[in-house]
Amino acid sequence: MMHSLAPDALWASVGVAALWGGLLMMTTAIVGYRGLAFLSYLVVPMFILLAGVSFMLGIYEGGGLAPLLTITPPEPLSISWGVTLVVGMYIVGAVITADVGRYCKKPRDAPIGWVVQIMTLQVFFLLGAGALTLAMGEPLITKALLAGGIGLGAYMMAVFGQWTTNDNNLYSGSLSYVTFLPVKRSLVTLIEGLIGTGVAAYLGFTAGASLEPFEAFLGILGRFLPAVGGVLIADFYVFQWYRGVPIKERYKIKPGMRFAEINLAGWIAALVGGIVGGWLIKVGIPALNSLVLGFVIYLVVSILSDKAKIRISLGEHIITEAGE
Amino acid sequence: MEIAKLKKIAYGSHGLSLLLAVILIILAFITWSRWIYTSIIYLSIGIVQLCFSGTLLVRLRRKVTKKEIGVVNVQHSWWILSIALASAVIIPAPFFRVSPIIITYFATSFAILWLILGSINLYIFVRETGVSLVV
Repeated sequence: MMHSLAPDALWASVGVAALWGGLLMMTTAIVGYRGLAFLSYLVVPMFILLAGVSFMLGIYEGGGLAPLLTITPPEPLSISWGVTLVVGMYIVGAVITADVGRYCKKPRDAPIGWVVQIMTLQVFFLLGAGALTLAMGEPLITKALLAGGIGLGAYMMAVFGQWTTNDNNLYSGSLSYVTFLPVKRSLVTLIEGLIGTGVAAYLGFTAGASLEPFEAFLGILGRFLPAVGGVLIADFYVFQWYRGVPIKERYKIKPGMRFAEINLAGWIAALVGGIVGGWLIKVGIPALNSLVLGFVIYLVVSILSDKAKIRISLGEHIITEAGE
Repeated sequence: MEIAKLKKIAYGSHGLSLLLAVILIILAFITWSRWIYTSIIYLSIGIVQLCFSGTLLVRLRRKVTKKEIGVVNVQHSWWILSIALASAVIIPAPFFRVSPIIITYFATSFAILWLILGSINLYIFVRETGVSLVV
């Protein structure tokens, strides 16, 4: 994105931008939840305002709302591929949201916050971006904003957009590692961040600027990760209920609690559900197939192994006093 | 710092913020016939800041402890600060500039003033009441 905004600047070349973008991502992720919250407090309202601006600019460039609604993209996608791409864009956030949602003061705050932002803000963001990119015929929202005369806002969206997304992903990734590695979260965050930044910079220096690898990656995420979401839904709402755990006690993490380091039923369901639902089944919407299969396979494997009294997990992790 | 003084600072700074919001709404009406998109942006920002500052003044009346005052002020100061940051970026953008340009300068200066007010408030209330910056 930065490269498209300033194609001649060295600092905005894909490789260099990946380096400083990675450093930004690491700063807030290493601080942890407070770092993520600090950045979100600062820039999320800006995104809301920029989405509104995009929509207005789209109406202006499209010659009014009615003409805008008649515009079709030069190469329209099928609805199933569109759903997969949209799911791919958001599924990582959906799957890891529990890592951030656990800080809510009341249990109901997490689903309320999530539903409100998905049903209202996300729709608003997509409408704003869609209106502008359709009207301008430019697939990159930041470039369209710059061409439309939004100036600094386009740069801010490029910088903060990647920063707020990536630091959440890095934070969540580091939390996953500390459940089975005896190291500090900040150290894992640093190492993961350096590896991710290095890979991104390498790809940037060698492959340059192209949206195709990113779209392909979104496609993989959109096909595979819904199965992980299916496993989480199945475990929390159905398997825990089957085991008789009251809903208020589910996933209530306390120091001293013991968890399996690797839940094999979850891995099997996610892998089989993701591959079969995402790639092998040729009917329906891949993202939805993957989610449903992950859900069903997890329940079948977990309940059968529970009835047969076979342990389907490896290792054990004990929650520390710090709650990690 | 005493509770009365803290409340005085909060009322003063958010009262000023409220005034800026009202002036921005007036500017929105002035720019309506010149460039409707600018008018809509000014109106949106003005109304949002009016709500954030106005509701603080109401909420603050019921707060009696330092911590309560601190939490409420930090929440509202963040909202004002973040909208101010967005405004400072968007208002001076070429698409939203209006003639005479002094109107754009005025509106931009309001955004900068909100930025300063929000930052100072956060600093004062976090330091004096001991509440967290991320509430």
